[in-house]
Amino acid sequence: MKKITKDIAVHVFLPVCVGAFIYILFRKESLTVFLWFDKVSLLDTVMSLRDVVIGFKDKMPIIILYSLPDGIWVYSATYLMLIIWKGNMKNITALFWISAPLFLSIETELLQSIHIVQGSFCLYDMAFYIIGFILPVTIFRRHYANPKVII
Amino acid sequence: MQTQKLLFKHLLSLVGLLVFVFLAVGSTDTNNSKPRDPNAWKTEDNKSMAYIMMEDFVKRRLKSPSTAEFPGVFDGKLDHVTSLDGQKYRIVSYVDAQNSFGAQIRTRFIGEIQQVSDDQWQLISLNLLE
Repeated sequence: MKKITKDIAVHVFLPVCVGAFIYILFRKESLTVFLWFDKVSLLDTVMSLRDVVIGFKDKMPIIILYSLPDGIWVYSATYLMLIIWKGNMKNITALFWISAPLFLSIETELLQSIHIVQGSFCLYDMAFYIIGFILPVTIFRRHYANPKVII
Repeated sequence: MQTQKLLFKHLLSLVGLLVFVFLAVGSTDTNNSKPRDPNAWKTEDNKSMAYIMMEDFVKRRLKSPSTAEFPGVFDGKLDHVTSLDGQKYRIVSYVDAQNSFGAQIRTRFIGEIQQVSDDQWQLISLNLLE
């Protein structure tokens, strides 16, 4: 149980936070999340934090700013599903949920390419989605080589 | 019991996935649905951008612009910028750069810069105090 809690913190919660921080600190202020911050009176605090790191923004590769966060989120969502379904990819139901984050992301990206969903299609995003799926599966399998451990 | 456990897993997966959908919604750009106020820059405090723009003007006057190193945020660079009226900013700061002999020297500079549109800046004055 303790191992699962640690895994959730490291492979689910932490990546979500890293991705969120990239969005909040370095991406445009026109994102929906800034409207939410404004509604809960946190916008000033967030803007002060953005001012502190503004010097780093130009030094950060575009791929980190625009593609990495989505890949990180696919990673954490996939890892969460792997924990819930105990990494049992032979079961069709489990496989459905485990691969759901990947397929949802790819589907969104494809819909962006035909302008049904907001945003622009990017091959780097697709690459990060795939990496964000393969990596947790590999890590999870290594961690739980013996499936009895997580029960 | 087994069915209940399975149902719980489905529910947990759905909630987990919805959290990520929530994150995805938060990361969408509102600019596509609502155009940015074209006059917003007139009231914004753009100290950081003012400094960045001034860096370009200072570099143009240096012998070796590629070696220029300006103070960072943690060196208090934003304290070197004063907001004036009419989207003007006064910057009193310094830059470390190599001179024509290859020696790294610190040059102080005083300048004023004005934001004239959403993405355009105009240099009003710049003095490098060597």
